[in-house]
Amino acid sequence: MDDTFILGGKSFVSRFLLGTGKFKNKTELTASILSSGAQIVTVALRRIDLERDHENILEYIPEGITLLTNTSGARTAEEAVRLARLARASGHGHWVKVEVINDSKYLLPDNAATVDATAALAAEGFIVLPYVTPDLYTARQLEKAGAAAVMPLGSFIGSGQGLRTRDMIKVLIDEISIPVIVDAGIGAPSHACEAMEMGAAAVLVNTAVAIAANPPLAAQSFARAVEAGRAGHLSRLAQPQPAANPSSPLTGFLFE
Amino acid sequence: MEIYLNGQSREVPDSILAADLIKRSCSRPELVICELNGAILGREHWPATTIKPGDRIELVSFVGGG
Repeated sequence: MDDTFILGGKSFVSRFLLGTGKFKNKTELTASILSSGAQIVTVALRRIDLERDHENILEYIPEGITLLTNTSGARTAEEAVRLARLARASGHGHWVKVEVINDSKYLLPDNAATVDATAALAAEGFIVLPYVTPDLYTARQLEKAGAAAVMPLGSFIGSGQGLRTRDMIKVLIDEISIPVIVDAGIGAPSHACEAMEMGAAAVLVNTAVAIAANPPLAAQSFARAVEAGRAGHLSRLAQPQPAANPSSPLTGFLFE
Repeated sequence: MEIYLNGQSREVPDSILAADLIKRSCSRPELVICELNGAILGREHWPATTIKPGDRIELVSFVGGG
């Protein structure tokens, strides 16, 4: 069965996206990318440290991986557009995760500003993956604006709380035609599996892998969970029933 | 002359070229993206661009992020 993941005009085998932030040790990032088979990873853009050298994250990302630069730090649509253009100027591609956040407690995205930035960047030829709180109207606007996917949050960034917004994510999966990639708050492989069973196109995990005691093993477990959930979804499982339905025959009992 | 580099005021030689400023600001210019007064300055322009007093330069590069 051909279940190739088409995103931004490219085909991918893996539906597991990995974030590169918060790794204690960058070699564990490389090992996590390899162990999980992730083909798309997110990075951020920051001012260079003028006082001292620091390592460049790109050195730890294998060749051939698609770089998805986030616009973290942007508080407005204009700042997001500016960051995306800087990322493109690097020559490392034109895929951007639009993230517009003006709230340091919950790190909730500004959906309206995200729509504006998405429209502007899609018009400039970027492959835009917007990060939003799941909302049907926002998702429809993003689709219309030319987003390549919608990335609804499962729960607060870094919280590991899982799919707190599952009902709203399901609405998006059912009503929106572009891929739905669940991003943020995935804390365990079971959360990633659940998102895929629901019909998400893919899942993005960062914190849960980066802060695990064994990140490469964690990354592998998330990738396997994504595969399992995807197969579960494609196999079209039966709906839950309110009462029992025997598994063994009701005739030929030994004891009448 | 005084310029602003990554948000901080700095004294640099008059008429310094962007390429030279960047070379002295980091060890690996090939990893850096430059913005001059709010507009991206492609690296092909670095050797021919003269920095002026009051110029605002941003030097950014990729870091880990979610």
